[in-house]
Amino acid sequence: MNKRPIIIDCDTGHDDAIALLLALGSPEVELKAVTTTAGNNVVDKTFHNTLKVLSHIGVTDIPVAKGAESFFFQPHKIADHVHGDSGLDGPELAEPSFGGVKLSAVELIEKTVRESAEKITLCPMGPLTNIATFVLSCPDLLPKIERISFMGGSAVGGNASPVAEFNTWQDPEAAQIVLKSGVPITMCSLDATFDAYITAEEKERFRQIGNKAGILTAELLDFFGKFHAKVGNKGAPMHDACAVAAVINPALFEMKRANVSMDLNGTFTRGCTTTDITGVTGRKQNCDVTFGVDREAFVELLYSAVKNLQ
Amino acid sequence: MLKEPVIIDTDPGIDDFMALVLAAKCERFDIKALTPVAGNQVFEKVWRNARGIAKLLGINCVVTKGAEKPLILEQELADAVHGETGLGKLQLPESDAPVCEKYAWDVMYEEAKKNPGKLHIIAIGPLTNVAIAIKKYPDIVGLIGKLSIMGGSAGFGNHSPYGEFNIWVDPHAAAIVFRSGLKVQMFGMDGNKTCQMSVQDFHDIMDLDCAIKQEMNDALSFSIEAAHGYGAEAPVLHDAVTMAGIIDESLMEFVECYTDVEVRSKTCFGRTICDVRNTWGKQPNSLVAVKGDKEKFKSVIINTLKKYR
Repeated sequence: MNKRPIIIDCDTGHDDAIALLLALGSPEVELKAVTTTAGNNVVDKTFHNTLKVLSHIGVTDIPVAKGAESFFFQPHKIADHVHGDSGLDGPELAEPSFGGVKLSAVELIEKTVRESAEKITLCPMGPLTNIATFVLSCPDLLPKIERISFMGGSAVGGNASPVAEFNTWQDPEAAQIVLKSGVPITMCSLDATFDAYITAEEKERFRQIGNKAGILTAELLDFFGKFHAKVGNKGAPMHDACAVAAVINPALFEMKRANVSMDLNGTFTRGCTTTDITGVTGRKQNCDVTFGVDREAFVELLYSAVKNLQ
Repeated sequence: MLKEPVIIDTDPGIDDFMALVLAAKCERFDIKALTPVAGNQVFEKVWRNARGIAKLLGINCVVTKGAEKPLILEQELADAVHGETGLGKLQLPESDAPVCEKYAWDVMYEEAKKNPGKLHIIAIGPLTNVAIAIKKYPDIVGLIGKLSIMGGSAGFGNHSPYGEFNIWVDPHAAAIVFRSGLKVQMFGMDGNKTCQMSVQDFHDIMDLDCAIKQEMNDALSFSIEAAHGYGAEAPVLHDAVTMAGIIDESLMEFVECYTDVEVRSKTCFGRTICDVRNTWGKQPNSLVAVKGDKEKFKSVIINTLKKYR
C-alpha cells in the first residue's frame, strides 16, 4: 500500500501522545518527522514528553525537533490544569532513550519536505507557530504540502473561551498565516472533536491489549479522563488524534467547506476561527471543517493502530 | 384574572406584524404600549406601521416616539426582507389615534414604576430603546419583571457569519442590555430556526378564514417570495416565534448561560457570546432558547387567527 507521508507538529500532551500512537500504528500513513511547540506546556517539556512517548514504544528512528518557545504576539499560557505539571502527568515513563535532531522544528519540516519525492501532509495539533513560520519562510515548498490537517478552531463554541478553541486562541496570528497560506486545509474543530471521545469501558479494552502502547493509552486516559469528567464532558475527547484520523480516513468525519479566518481583535472573540458557513462574507472557501465524527469507527481505528504497536 | 402588563418594543417588519397579531389576542397580556424603534426600516416608517397595526388589530395602547438610529452606528435597513414600507404588500389603515409625544424609554420607566416587578418588556427589534431606558433610569433594572428579546445567536448568524440582524445593527445597545443585571430571555437564531415552517404550513395559515385573512396574505406572500430570493424555502418568522414562545411557555427549551456581545472585532462584530460551556465561570444572565416545537408554533398561530372574527 502507498503510505501517505506525514509530519506531526505537537505539544505532547495526552491526546497528542495518543495521536502519535495512531500515526505510528496505522499502515495508511508514514510518520516522517515530529516537531514540537510551546502549547499545553513549555516547549522543553512538550519536546521531552514526545521523546519519552516514542522511546516507550521503541520508536527511536524518527527525527524529532524542538520548535517555538513563544508565540507570534500572544503571551504563552500553559494548560497544566488539563495535562498536569509535566504536561503529561499520569503514566510512569522512563527517560528517553534517544535525543532529538539538532535542527529547529521549521528546519526539520523544510528538510523533510525538500527531500521527499512525494507531497507531505502536515498534522499540527498544537498552536500553529511552527507551521506559520514554515509557511512564511518556505513559500517555494508550499506546493509540496499535500494538505494541512490541523486540530484546532471551532465553528461554534470554544474551550479556552466561550467561542475559541485552545490552540488557535494560543497563537491566533500564526493560525491566520496558516489559514491564508493557500494550502488545502482540514480544520479538525471542536465541533467534531468533542465527540471523538473514549468511554471508560473502551479504555479498559485498550488496557487489555496488554502491549506497551495499549497500557500507555489506558494510563493516559486514566489521568486525562479525570479532568474531562470534572468539567462534565462525555468521556475523554481525543481532540488531537482527529488531525491524524482525518488523514487516514476523512470519511470518518462529516465535513463542510467554508471560509475560515481568525478573529484577531475582538474583546471576547480574539482567537476564534470565524467560520462562514453560509458564504455571507463572499470570501473563498479555504477549509474543510469537521462537524461530526463516527465515534465508534474512530475508536476502532485507534484500537487497531494501538494493537499494531509494541 | 390579573393580566401581565406588557410593552412591545418593535420595528414592524412583517414578522413583527405576525408577532403583534399573536400578542393582540393573548388574554394574558395587558398591552401598555408599543414602542417602535428604528430597525427593519427607518423610524418614521416603523412608527407609522406600528400605529396602523394597532388600529387594524384593535390594540388599544399608546404608540410612542423612540430611537431613530442605533446608539453609535449608522442605521442599516432590512428592506430586502421587508420591502419599501417594511410590511411587504400589506396596506394598513391610517391611524386616527392622537399622536403620543412621549419617548419609549420614558414610558417604559413609567410603566415599570407603576407595576414594580411585573412589567414584561418584549423587545423584538434592535435594543436601542431598551438600552436608552437602562442608561437614563438605572433603577429600571430592579423594576422590570421580565425582559424577552428576539435577537442573537449561540451559533451562526443571518447577517454575518455570527451576527443576527437585531443585535448586529446595534450591538452597543445589546451589550448594555446584557450587562445591565437583567436576566434576558433570548429568542435567537438557534431556537427560532427549529420553528421554520414549510410553504405548506404557510398556506395552511393563509387559507384560514378570519377577519385579517387579506392582510395576512399580503404580508406573508411577500415574505415567502423574499425568502426564495435569498435561497430559503420559506422564511423564519423570528418575531412571531418569539411571541409564540412567550404565549406558550412550553414551546421552547432554554439553556441558562452568561451572554455578552462583541463590539470590537472585525470578523465577529455584533456576535452574542453565549458561554454555554461556562469557560468564564460567570453567573448566568440569560436564558437562551435553543430548541422549539414547530407544530406548537403553528398551533399558536392557528388558534389565534380563529379569534379574529
